[in-house]
Amino acid sequence: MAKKTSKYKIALIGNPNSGKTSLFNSLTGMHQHVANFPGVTVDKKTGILKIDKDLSVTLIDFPGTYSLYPNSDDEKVVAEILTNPKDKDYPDAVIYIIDPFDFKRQMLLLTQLQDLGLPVLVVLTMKDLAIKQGIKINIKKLSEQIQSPVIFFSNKTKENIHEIKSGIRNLFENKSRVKTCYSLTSHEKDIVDNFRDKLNFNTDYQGLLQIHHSEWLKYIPKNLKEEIKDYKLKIGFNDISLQIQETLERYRIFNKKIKGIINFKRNSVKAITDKIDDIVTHKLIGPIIFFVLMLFMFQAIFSWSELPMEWLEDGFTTLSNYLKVNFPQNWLTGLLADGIIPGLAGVLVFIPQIFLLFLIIGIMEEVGYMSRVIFMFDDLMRKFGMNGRSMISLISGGACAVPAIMSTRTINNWKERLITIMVTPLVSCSARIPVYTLLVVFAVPDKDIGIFNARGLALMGLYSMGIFMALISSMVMKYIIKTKGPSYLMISLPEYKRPIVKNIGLYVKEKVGAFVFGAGKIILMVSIALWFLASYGPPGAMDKAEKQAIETGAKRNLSEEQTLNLIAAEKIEHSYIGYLGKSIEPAIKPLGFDWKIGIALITSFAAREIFVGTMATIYSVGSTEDNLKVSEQMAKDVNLQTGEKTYNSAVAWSLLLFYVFALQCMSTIAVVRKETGSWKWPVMQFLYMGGLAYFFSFLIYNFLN
Amino acid sequence: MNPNKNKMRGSDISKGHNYKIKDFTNSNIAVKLLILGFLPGSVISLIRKSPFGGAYYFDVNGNRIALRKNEAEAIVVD
Repeated sequence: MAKKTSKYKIALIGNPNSGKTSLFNSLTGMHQHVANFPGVTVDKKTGILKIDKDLSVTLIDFPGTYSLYPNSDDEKVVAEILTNPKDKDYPDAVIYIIDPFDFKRQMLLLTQLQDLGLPVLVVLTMKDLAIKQGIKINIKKLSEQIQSPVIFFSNKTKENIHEIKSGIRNLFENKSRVKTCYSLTSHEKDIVDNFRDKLNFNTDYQGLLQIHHSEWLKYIPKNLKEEIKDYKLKIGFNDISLQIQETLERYRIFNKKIKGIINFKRNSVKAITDKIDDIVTHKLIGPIIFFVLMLFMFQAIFSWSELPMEWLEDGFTTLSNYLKVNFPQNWLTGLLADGIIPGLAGVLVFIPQIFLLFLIIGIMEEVGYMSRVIFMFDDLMRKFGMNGRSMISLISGGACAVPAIMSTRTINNWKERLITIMVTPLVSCSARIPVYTLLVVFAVPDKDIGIFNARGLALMGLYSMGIFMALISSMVMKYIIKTKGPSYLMISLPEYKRPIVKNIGLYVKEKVGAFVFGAGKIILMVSIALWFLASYGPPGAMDKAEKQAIETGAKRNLSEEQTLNLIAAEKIEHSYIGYLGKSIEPAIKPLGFDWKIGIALITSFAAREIFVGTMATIYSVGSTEDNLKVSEQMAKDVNLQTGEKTYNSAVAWSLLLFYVFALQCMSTIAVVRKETGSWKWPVMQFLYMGGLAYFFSFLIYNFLN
Repeated sequence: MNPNKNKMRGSDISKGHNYKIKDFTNSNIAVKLLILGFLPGSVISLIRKSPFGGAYYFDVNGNRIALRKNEAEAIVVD
């Protein structure tokens, strides 16, 4: 046998919440690799497990599923691969993970897997907890009855991890076939026989599943799909009733087999979970606890991340300045110091917030609280065309829309998921905060209304407007978007358990990584493009502008710094982006915006917070660190035609509302494209949010003017 | 579906009492409930309803599962 290869693929399969991911983490540790299953955005985690010195296997963590008759996209992936022996991820063997607290139900999928002809190693998890709670299992007898090796394992103590390893080795050594659990009825046998030559399957049951799912299985060619469909009609093959029949038959067979093998005297675990749920899912106290938790979460995200965010910002500024001072002044230094580094900084400064967000969400998920949130708010969210699971995404949207949109993957109904994706960016994310704080100064005088500060109230109003519009939009979309497939809640509420630090650590690492590499690439590309557009102009135009600025500086007796600032401002006016700003001026004039704001709108399309930096450049403030300086310069700006101040409260409100609604974020567009698999949805989203922004800005500008 | 018309449904059961699942009225929902362990003969009880009343928190053979109203309505109990 070849040494140190991982030519064997082993699938980790189990019900949701069975402890599958924990086992995967225990077996592979940090040696994990996350990718997508081909053609879908469902995460595929793989890792190498070294069995001994001449055998390593590749473990593939499959999405949690209850059966090979899938309900969601996640579950479809499992059926798609396991019914197709030709698939490149088709496993050589399966490790099937069972949560002993909920043993019986999980036998269903086990017998299905065995009927596919796959060698199965059964791992019962949570050994420590199960024994403590008085679960008694006759492992030897169980193993005999189900004809597969069984290992009782604890992810906490990991004491018998070597048993799993030798169990895997044995799977390859004794290939005794398991007796089929479910025998096909003559009706089912007939259709399988009929397509035996045209389909490719190892066992009759695999063939039956291919026929059941032929409509959506990607590997079945279209003409064959038609043929199967016609044949089903001809012989009266009813998918649903046959599936019911099969499921009941399986339950009947294995219930007989496992009778008396597992004994569980219900005691304290149940009681603890029930006691917690009495409070946590209580009609009144439940939602209150949830909102207090959310308040705490946002408090944590915004206050705890302040310091590390400052460090990151300072770090990047220092790096950029260092480059400018110590390296020759050429285009490469410029690209690095003014393009790439600030671009990267724009993404990376959000890491502390994203980290905290996913840390808290990860803990809530790990202990089992998330499914309670989904249960409590499902009906409310349904009224808005969404799903209980949308709640998590909308909340995450308060930090950043990118991970929020990625978290919609758990929503099993495509329409509800799509609506959630479409409205999430309306929830004000952290990138809007610098823009809001800069502009609110011009919009609202600094005075108190009652016990509240007027500016604070205005900020709260902006946030509420975003949330309100998200709900309105989702309600509208509920009627516009056509349904695709049924929607289910049917969620299992698992036992509460103490979180395992390693699991949360890996979860956070994965999510933060996805954010950095997902959003990072786009922002980097856009900032390079923007840098180019702002640094170069039509031939001669910028040189002329620079010369003029120097002359003006000399004439007015400006200091060196002031002259440099003036040059920067003149240069940007005559760069490509300056001309671009001027060319869109007619379109944004009705909103009260001039070409300078136009430039900032264009540059901040990469990420909203770039608005502040661009304003600083245009108003020739050397550094962008101080909002105050920028606002002072902006306050002095006067409209040459009317002689009025550019930034009166009408313009400021107009801009504020524009930023509440407009989809000014390249990364969001990129992630929506990825999650929906087409350009249609990000384009629609950009247009409808842009439309809202334009409409409300226009309204308020003309109302206030 | 008529024989089940006047029978008690999963959405009608009151808190704290045990019922037995008899049958299902909607096979599309039934097929998914079966997978989750809702079987004819299973003991089912209601733990509580969601704050807005549209979802039900059940105990089925000792497993905790939440269903929507229409999903609970598809269960015929005794």
